[in-house]
Amino acid sequence: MTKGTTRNLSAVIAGGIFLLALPLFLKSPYFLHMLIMTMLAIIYAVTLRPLVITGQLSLAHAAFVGIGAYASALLVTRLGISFWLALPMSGLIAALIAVIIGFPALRAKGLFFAIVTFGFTEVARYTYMGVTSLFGGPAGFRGITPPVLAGIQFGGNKVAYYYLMAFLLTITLLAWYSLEKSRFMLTVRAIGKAENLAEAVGVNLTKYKMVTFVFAAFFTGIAGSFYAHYNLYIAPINFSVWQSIAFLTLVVVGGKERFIGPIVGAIFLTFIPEFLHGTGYFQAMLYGGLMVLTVLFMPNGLIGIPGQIAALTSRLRKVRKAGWPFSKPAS
Amino acid sequence: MAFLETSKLTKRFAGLLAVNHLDLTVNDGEVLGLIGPNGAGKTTVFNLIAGTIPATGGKVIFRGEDISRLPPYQVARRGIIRTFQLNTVFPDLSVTENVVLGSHLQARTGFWGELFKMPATRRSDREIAGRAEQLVASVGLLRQDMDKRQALASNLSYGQVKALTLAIALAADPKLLLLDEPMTGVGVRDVPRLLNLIREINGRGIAILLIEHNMKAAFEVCHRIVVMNHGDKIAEGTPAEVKDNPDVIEAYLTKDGHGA
Repeated sequence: MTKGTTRNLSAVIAGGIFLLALPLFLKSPYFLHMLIMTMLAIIYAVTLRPLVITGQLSLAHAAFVGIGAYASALLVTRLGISFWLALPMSGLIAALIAVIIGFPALRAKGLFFAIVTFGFTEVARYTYMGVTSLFGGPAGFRGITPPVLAGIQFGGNKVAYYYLMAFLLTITLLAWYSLEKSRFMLTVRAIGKAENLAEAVGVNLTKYKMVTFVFAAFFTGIAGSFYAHYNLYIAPINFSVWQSIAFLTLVVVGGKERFIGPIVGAIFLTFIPEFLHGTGYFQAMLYGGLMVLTVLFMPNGLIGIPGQIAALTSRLRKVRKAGWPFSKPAS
Repeated sequence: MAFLETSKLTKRFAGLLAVNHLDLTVNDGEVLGLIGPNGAGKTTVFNLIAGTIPATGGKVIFRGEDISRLPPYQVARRGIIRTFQLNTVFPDLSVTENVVLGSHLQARTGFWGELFKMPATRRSDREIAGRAEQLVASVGLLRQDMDKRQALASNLSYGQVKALTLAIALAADPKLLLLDEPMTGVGVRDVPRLLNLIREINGRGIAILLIEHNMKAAFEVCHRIVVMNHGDKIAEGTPAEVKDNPDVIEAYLTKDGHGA
């Protein structure tokens, strides 16, 4: 246990140094953009995973990104609040809305919860489209200003954005990894395995689901705020149900059983298709196809592959030992 | 005063009267058996007491408090812990993790303490882990090879799963245990061991309400027995009284095959 923790810690430190040093060598704005988008995807996937574990298939994740993005855009451009204040405030606003919709929505389970959150995401999207005076309508919200920090202009400065994103990602991962090894996540996993038993030993299911939902919305809202002030333009189409489904794909394809799973899924599905010069259509096909393949052949996702290979080779070895094909294979 | 008391407890599923005006009393420190043919409504009674499903009518009083409308986790908080016929343990989690989950109510720290790894949280977690180890041992689980406590619950034998079920329930620090068919599927040699375990748990002052199909085992371990058929209570008394009750014999004979 301690050995594993030390190893994990050194891996994290090595990874952190690598990520911090990366812009010193790679100055390609395109490459930095890809890294930033990947880190955003990691935030979405890591925060969504605990909900998937409890069996609550949330399609509201993109809505919370949108709430964070629009809230931040409004706070900065209309009220003149500093981006650095709007960033955490967007998270809080997303979390507050998660509390409000969580109370009715979390009573529903599985497919019903998916339908309720689907509805919520659509309502949010149509609100941005309908209330043109506030949200800019279908044409989107223009004129979002880039952040400035101690004289550093973020506009056109991908390296500055990169470091800000790396910072936000680090905070997010630290928070969720801290929970990962706690009794909280153990209980969350238990709810996913046997909800009735968890309830029978005194677990307040709604409370646990609510905390997971709201905590995820907080970090997602912050990511949304970053996105708005990075892209400098947001539109309702960016926060649709399809986006939510893409986030679920990151978790399922990566593998929900371990913390690293959604991270692997996010890297694999954001970074790699881009290098294959994927157009939108190709990417959608890849997501769909991978989702199907994963569900059919890799129940534990990409991170489950080594285990599956190990199981397969040990079975082959047993079969060979038993003298296959001439005698009955050992099972 | 009665420890647990149901009065006129009724559950109707559409046209079916699953439990009909049931008056049931569990006394402090007692092992009460609830028996009856399949479909008699025994598990429904458990679901009603534990708050898993709402009653159509009647009341459940526990230690003087009306708990009829409480959700399951609130009932658990009052000290009534139930087990299930299926889903008895958390699969794919280790034996120790299973028992730690049972101690949920004993944990004294919340979300923020766990997020920031507060000292109080660490202390509480350590205490709970220590207690879990003791409980695993106290139900006689894997005494021979302790390494296996890290083993997944899904790899245990049937008898071991039953013992783990009890360990989880005990970890919740119950005042009243509701055991739903603890003997079902257990090997013949494991039955006396489980009976001893139930007696030992009762010896700690925990009252037990027990649903059991294994008549021999139920008659052996219970102080009193209530017999149900088609949602009605048809007999109540000591094992000896119930055994010779003509209504009971009738109920079992017409359903054929559950006597032992």
